[in-house]
Amino acid sequence: MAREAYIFDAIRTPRGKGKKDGSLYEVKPVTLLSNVLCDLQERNRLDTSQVEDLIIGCVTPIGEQGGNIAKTAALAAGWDEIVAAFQLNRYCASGLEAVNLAAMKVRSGWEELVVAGGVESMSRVAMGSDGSPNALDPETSINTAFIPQGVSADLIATLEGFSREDVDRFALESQRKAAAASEKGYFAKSLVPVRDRNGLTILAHDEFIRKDATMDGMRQLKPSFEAMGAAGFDAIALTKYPQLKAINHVHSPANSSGIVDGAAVILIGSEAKGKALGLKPRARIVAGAVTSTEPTIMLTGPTAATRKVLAIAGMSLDDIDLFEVNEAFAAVVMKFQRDLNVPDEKVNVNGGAIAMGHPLGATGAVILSTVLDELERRNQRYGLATLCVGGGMGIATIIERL
Amino acid sequence: MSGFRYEKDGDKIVTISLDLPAGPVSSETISRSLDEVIARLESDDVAGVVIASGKEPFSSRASARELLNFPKLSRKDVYDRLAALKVRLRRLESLGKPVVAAIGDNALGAEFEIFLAAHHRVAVNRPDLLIGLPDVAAGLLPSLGGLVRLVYLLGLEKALPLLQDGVRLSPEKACEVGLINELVADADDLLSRAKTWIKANPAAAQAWDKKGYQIPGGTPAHPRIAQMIITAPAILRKKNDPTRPTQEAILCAAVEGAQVDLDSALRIESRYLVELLFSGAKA
Repeated sequence: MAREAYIFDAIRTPRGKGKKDGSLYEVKPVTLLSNVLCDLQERNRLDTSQVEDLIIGCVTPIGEQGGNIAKTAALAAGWDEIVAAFQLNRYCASGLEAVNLAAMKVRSGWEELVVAGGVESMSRVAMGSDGSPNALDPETSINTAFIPQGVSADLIATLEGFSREDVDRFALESQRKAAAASEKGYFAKSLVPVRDRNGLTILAHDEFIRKDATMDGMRQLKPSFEAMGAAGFDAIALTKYPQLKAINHVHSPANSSGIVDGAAVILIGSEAKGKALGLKPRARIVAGAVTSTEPTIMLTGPTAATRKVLAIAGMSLDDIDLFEVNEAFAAVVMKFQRDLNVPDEKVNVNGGAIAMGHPLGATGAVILSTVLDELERRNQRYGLATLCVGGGMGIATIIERL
Repeated sequence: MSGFRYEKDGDKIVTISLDLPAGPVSSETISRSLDEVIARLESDDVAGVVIASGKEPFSSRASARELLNFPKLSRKDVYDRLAALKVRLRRLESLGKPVVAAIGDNALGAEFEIFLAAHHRVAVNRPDLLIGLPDVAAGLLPSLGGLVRLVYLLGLEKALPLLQDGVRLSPEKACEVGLINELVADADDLLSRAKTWIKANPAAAQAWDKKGYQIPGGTPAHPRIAQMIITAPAILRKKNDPTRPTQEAILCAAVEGAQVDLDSALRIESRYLVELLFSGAKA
């Protein structure tokens, strides 16, 4: 019989506003991560010498997040020296890639217990501050028809005919669902407060949610990517999509994912290791997949990755009870639902990154913990998490609640 | 008005001096007094503020630990009180009017921390006066933003040795290193010098509240500062002074504070202080 990879626990910090006035701004990334490792250890009475590897997604791994933030945080958390660790970067998929990789390690039999997750302090290490030849090397940019993600999101909206009203309505719904879920304590199981060195609470809830969001308020916001588009990126996009006359710039800060700080970790292992350590499996990782699609439109990967992961698992869309599709931009999720004919009742039922924020390297692990909590709450069986990813990539993971 | 004298002259310059009534001094009495006097300053028609040494420096009336009501309060209570005190000093330094410290007596610990919230510091050049932040000797770090303001004022390279060694300086020496801006030979000239500065600098504000302010020498991301930070823990370890744990906390709080904005830095300072206070380190 094939070896299986199980999730024994999944926890995350609340997401703090990723600006100077955000609650987690004062918390160093290494502390954000090492604290959540300590919480995982404590909650599971985990003998850390049994953990073989720690895989941490981080998209801007420079400065305070540089070196190898995973190993540094493991040491800072006082974890056993035997724990190996590394940081990976698959852009926005990093946190979920860490999970998939951990599952592969366990399923291969080479390792028995792995911790996977991610960390991103966007308030302290600015998105894009690591530089990248895709945008900063003209030759590469020219040859690969680089455009900023926001223009890609607007391109999706234009091709699909999503209006500003449509994407704003989607965003408002994300806010409403997130506020309701937060209020009802649906995130309580995986949410661990960020505390200071004295045990005093710094942040205990997702602080980005705007309970008072309204269509009128959102309508006032200027489109975020219009100027960039007008500067010339629209022209690049239209060269690739000549069927369009113009790009309709519909995405604004209100219907794009929030810039936030946060960390998440998931404890993954084999059945035998779980038994030996007295850990009860909460879910089985059924399958994981990555793929890549047309890079200029860039953000259509979730559909392809979902099809691929379903094929690997030998499952159909109808088998999936709940989907978490990262709300990088409203149009990304709307297109995913249209492509695969997935009803609203199954998608991001407790809101998403538009309401709560997208701590780049951590988000994949965050949304997987969210779907697991919700499967447990609803007594449902299968959950699928997927994200759009820079470069046109897509990632997806299916879990089965136990 | 309890705690602070409040004297306004014909030029609308208010001189306040901490003059606490007899009895135990605590962070609470100082906080309450500051709150009252700052509220009055905020609502009064004022051209500037001189904050002068009181009749008796309160460092001679209460130790740093006594000021913090340790061990009667919980960690949370001490943290919250410090936060309240720091907010008051932020209000003082962002009053929108020039604030000058007129130092005519010893100014050590919490008292000097209050003076650090002034935009300009004048001291009497008496060689027997002592100025500085000696909290390290008590196993503590400055509690009222003094660590953060010293770093923002002088930069990490200059501020750290002063904080880690808890240096007490004569006014002349303090002026040399930048803790004091101006000296007067005669105590009788102190107030008039302070007022002269106020009149000459009606738009005074803290350097760190001006747009684009950079910490002298740079933040921890600056290559030279980074080099200093890399070796600092090793130097402390080699020195292995009895106050090493405190010096380590000072190093951490100073560096972390220089990585963020001033208000976050003030919180970080409190968190390290509360930890030290409750860590059982010897007073």
